Amino acid sequence: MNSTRFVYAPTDEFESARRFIERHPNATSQGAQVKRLQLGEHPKSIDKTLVVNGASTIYECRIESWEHCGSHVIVRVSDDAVEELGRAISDSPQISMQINDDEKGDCGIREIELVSDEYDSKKVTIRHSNPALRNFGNA
Amino acid sequence: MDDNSKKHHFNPEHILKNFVLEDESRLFVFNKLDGNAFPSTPRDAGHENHFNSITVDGDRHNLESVFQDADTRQSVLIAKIIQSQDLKKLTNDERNYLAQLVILQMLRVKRIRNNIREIPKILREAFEHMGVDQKFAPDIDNNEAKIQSFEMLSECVQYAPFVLTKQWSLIVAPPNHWFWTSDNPICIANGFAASDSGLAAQGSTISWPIAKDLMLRFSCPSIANKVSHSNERDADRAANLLRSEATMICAPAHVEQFNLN
Repeated sequence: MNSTRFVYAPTDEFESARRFIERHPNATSQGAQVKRLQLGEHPKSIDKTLVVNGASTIYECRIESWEHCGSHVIVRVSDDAVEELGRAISDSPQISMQINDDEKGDCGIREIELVSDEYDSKKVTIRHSNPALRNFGNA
Repeated sequence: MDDNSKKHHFNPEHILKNFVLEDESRLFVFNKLDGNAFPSTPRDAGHENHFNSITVDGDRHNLESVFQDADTRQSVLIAKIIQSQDLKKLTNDERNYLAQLVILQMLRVKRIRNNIREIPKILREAFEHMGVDQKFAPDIDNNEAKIQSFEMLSECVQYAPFVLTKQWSLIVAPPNHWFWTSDNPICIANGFAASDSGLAAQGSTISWPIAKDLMLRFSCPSIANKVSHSNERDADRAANLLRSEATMICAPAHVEQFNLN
């Protein structure tokens, strides 16, 4: 239902389109595809998640807890996200990360590196890969 | 091109002809606003009268000819793809040009003009929050939106690399199941929940049905990378990304039967 108004097809069997519209009345909107978001607000509503844009693909890890410490962020992921976190750490250099958290507010950093924790596989420290930016928050 | 031309197609007639069944001359149009369907022809569908005419100082200028060369070359290129059903047969020049045609098709539709007209309203909302005078975001009328959309056409070359760097494939419909197209035929979707559908966003995939049984697909390499980096459970999920959202938009049924070439 990407159309603005009209769909074209070889036959007149549009029952699935009618059913889709019944389930998603907003699909009939002719309005624009742009909307205003707050600074740092993610366009999609998703669970508390760490999203890492790695060198080759995207990784999504559910978060148990996270905290902002000066210029870096410490994240603990849930048990089922440990493997995904390991893959994200391996896929370097990472481009950026976002934390989506409706309660505490979202957070994002570009040009990052992920530092794993020697004793806790669920924990990762995310900081700028550029040392100058890394020290900026502590100045 | 006749300067007096009136029927200006936003989905070219030569493409719509590919959505007609053999031994038929008509296709069917579904109006999603009222749920009605009616028969039409490639000539009469996918157009609006004077869609590409603008008014400057009270004089109407017909800019339909802007698309003439692109539409001619596109019809040859699309015919070659349909006949060969093999994207490897395209030369480098043809691939470059096809990438530009994808962007051109994205920009020549009504949705773009709706987006342009919506921007002042969004700015006024933001200005209201900031206490800025709303007069700095005046309304854009339909004619101005048309002019701005024509100015955007020069960006086809600039954005083509975002298409070229994706993984190209042809998706073939199973027997007796057909793709649909629309007044906004290029679909961009992103299977990653946390990503957006911008052209350059990781995971964003472009789908373009070019015939009733054939769809061009430009997938972000990050999707294939996700499959190769994943464990077995996640790989299944990631593989589904390859045939998920965009296919569902363009094809009514039997998504699982579609083959990737």
